[in-house]
Amino acid sequence: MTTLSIPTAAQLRLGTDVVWIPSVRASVQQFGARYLRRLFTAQELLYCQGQPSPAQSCSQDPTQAPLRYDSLAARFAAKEAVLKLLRPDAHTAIPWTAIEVTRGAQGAPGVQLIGAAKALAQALGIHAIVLSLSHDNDYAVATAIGFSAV
Amino acid sequence: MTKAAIRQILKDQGRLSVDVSTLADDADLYQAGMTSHASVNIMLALEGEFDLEFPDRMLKRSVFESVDAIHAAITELQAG
Repeated sequence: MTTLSIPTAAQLRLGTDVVWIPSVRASVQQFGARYLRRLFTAQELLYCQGQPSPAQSCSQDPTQAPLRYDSLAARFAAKEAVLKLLRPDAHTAIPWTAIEVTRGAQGAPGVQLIGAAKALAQALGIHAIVLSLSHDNDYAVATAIGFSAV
Repeated sequence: MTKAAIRQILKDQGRLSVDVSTLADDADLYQAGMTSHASVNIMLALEGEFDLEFPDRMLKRSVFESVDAIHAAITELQAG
């Protein structure tokens, strides 16, 4: 007989965040590539380049692919949700690109940690993080749950 | 002049829940309503204003938590 092990509250860490999508669009308009480069990895940006509706596209450069601001906002929310479950102290530096939102089988979002984010997760004993994203109208939301063995 | 420029950027980008002019230099900006996304915009605006770049080691809460903290970080970066 298989025994199902249910994590205790002590083994779970939770983070959630909500982002107003127009603020992401405004930041791209104001800061351009600097904003995108500091927050998102190349893979994340590749995913967020699509064929949005004319209302969503704000690209000033016709040679650049238009961006899906809802996807960018959801990914920023995901990074913040993961940071909230990691709970770094005020003196621990974790760049936003150290937390990458990936896309797995059947389109399910995942998380890849590198550098300081990975080190902190390992120190906390977190061996897995699951992620859920959503967006509706002007808001994007993300929830992350981290699992530790202890 | 640096603190004045910092305060102007906080006013323009911070989306704080209080008037920036009422905040002490050591007041906690997160307590004053600065969100994570707003802190990104503030960082990028500071970089543009002072022609510098915050290195990854400075991308932490303590660097952006007050006018004093931001001023100290900029001073450190300008010193080379």
